[in-house]
Amino acid sequence: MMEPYKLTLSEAADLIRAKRLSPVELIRSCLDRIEKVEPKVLAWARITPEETLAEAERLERLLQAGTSLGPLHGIPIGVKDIFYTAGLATEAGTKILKGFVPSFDATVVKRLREAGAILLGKTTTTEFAYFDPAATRNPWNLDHTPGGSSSGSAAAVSAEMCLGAFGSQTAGSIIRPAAYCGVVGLKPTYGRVSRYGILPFAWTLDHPGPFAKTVRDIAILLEGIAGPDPLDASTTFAPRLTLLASLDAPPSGLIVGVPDRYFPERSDPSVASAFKEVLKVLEGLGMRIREVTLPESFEAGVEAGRLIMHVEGAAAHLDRFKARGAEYSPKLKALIEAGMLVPGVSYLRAQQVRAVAIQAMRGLFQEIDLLATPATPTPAPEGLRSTGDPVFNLPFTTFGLPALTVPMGFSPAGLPVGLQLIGRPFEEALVFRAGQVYESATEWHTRRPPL
Amino acid sequence: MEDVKRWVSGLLGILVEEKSVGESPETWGTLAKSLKAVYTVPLDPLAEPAITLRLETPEEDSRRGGDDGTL
Repeated sequence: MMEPYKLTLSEAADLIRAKRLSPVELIRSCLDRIEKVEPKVLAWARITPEETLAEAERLERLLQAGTSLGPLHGIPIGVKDIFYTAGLATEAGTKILKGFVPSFDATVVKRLREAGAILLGKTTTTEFAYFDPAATRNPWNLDHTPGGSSSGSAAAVSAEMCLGAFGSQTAGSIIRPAAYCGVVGLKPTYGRVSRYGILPFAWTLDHPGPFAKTVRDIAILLEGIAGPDPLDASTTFAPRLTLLASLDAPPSGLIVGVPDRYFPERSDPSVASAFKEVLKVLEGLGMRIREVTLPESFEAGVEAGRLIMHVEGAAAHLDRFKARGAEYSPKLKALIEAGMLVPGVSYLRAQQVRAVAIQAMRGLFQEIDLLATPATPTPAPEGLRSTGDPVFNLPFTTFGLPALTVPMGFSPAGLPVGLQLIGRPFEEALVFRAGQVYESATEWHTRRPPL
Repeated sequence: MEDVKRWVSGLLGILVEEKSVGESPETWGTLAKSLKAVYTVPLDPLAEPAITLRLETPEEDSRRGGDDGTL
């Protein structure tokens, strides 16, 4: 058998269920991998090897006694360092929260543990999940950014230090780093996954979501943690999620819309050429490609999202900022200072415009089943001072629509580029079907960085 | 602008320097563009903002608790 750390999450889960791989063996393999590559990648804020091994031993004993906790039994997972973890520090990439140890788990973490996952550690984040970068490097080229803000989650999965990870997206913080690092990432529909126990950045824009090596792995992770949570009112009306049952259903006949503006003019040639090939593959798989005109309110809706992020970001940080403003990094400091000056009427205007744009997107989705775009305008930029541009992701974060990224090729410099598939609210299953069939027809997702 | 900034900062109890260390021209440029953009869309007088208010039942309310991380 190959080194266990190289397995996909679903392969490892199957082997554990069949008692052909032990959780302890898998954890040891991941810890060895971390020891080898973490000094180069710097994806972890902290790991807890002793506790992790003890938990793996406990889960192994349970299996031997005939008890499986669920589909994630024995699977090592990383969680972005803004998710509360009981008894384990949560520092959000800032010295302001140094030493802060929550007394309870975020709902996502609680559900991961209940499904049998092992929390390997906390992955790095940009400061408070905004744009001031972490030290993390892109596993495909250490001189390039891994993206952000969920920098560590994307890099840890890409470098095969864990089999899955969780992050969050307020603008482009899941899809962008996943695409830059050549892994699969999902920003679910707003309300699909509980935000309870995750440090907020912008309440009406924050979305938690998973990273993994394949679409199937993402489906397993999402099924493990999604669903209504009485502690997060946004999740109350989410319909039941069934992904795995329909994952392999043929998506032939699906109408895939390709926007006629906004994305093409911003795409780098290497991204545009990979995306063109994607469309041929999707067509070959029986999907119908249709160029679509985005609603007139699309761009204003995106700007509304940006304005909302400034105001809600300022509001979320105001008390801390009053006490310790001097310790904030420059980009977040600038956002807070600007956001607090926006008139209340303009914030509400932005929320009204956002509602208009969401309604217009609903109209567009009456003509198509999915929307396809590149995940980012360029491959991961060189340097570590910026985490790249979320301009292709902010629209769908603002509109709350589910977005999945799957690797779609490589730039001439050897950096991965990603496809972004967007669906109707709460129709993750359809997005996954298209992503899964594309992934099965290509081999981009099987490539690993040369670490 | 500086007067407005001083007034709002004073109301919120935040000390903001006239030329803040963190202030970058792109932040203000970005925000100005966003502010203008949201006034280009004509609105129905009945248009509601994309925010919902859902009141908790007493049972849900009692399930909340613990550390909120506030310093």
